Amino acid sequence: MSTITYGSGTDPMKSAIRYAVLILVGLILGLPLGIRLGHRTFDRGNEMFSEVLALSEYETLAGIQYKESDFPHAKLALQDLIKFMDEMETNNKPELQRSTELDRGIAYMRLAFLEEKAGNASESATYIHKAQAVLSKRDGSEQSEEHLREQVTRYDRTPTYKLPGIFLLSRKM
Amino acid sequence: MKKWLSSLVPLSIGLGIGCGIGYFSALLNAGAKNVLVTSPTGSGFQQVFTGMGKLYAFETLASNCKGSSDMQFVLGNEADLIVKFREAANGSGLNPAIDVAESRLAIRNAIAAEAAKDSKLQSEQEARARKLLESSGWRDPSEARMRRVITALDDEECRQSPTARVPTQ
Repeated sequence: MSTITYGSGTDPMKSAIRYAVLILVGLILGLPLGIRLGHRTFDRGNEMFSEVLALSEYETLAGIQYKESDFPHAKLALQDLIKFMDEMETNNKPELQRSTELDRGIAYMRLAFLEEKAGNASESATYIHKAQAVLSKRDGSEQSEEHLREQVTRYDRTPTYKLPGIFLLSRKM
Repeated sequence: MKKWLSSLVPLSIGLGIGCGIGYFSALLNAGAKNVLVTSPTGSGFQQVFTGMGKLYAFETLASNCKGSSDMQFVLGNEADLIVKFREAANGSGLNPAIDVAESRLAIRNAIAAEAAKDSKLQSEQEARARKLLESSGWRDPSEARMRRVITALDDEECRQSPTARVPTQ
């Protein structure tokens, strides 16, 4: 039995199979490429979005407690906020690191203010050093105690409950 | 040359389709991991993280900046979330101010009851809020104080929103 051939001399069945195989090969090659490209595009943005939402609420509740509650509750809320930020880092959620460092520095300064008001000068000094260390790690600059006191006191006078790093990020979203 | 070109066309088509499917599946996968969609599972921290993200979303809706939120739906869901969130936070080693979140919700419910002229529900919710604020160490645990905090929170939220706030209370 002879095979029917056309002008070009190719069997159309064979050509169709060849095309199908080539499409399949392209599909198999394209799939991981698309997945990789998609992960690069969406994962970071999605992670950041989730982190901003979670940290915004945590900072809001801690901020309310700092402004409205007594010394032990305000202190507990701020220490817990710092613990949450630490856990975010250890759980591989470092997308917001720079913003988190700023907010962590302010949280330490607020703890310093609370300890100072409670008459605990040495604890206050420890928290100020921690604030300076965190902010120095963030941008390499050395911030004086006076400058930090002035900045945080000014921020505390605003009606905002979120800390500035997250507040600015959430405004962009 | 012609044969080579005729092979490149189906290969490119396949590559394009494969890339598209992969990209779309990555989008779906990323969406499924979003705190707004995923249910609070995993480690204690992960559950608190997800719960906090959802709580923020409900509070954004409760701020009602556009004046179009279904408040009954939002406040009902926020109440369910706080119950689950309290359980999740228990074993997490974290101590988020859930009592403050619950008292905020109670005052939002009281405001809704006031608008519906249900004075019994309003006073019940205000009493609940006061009790929670006392246990949270508030210097002024009155419902008036929490109302002022809510107003400030809503203003903060609506300042961030591109749409001007429509007063609903």
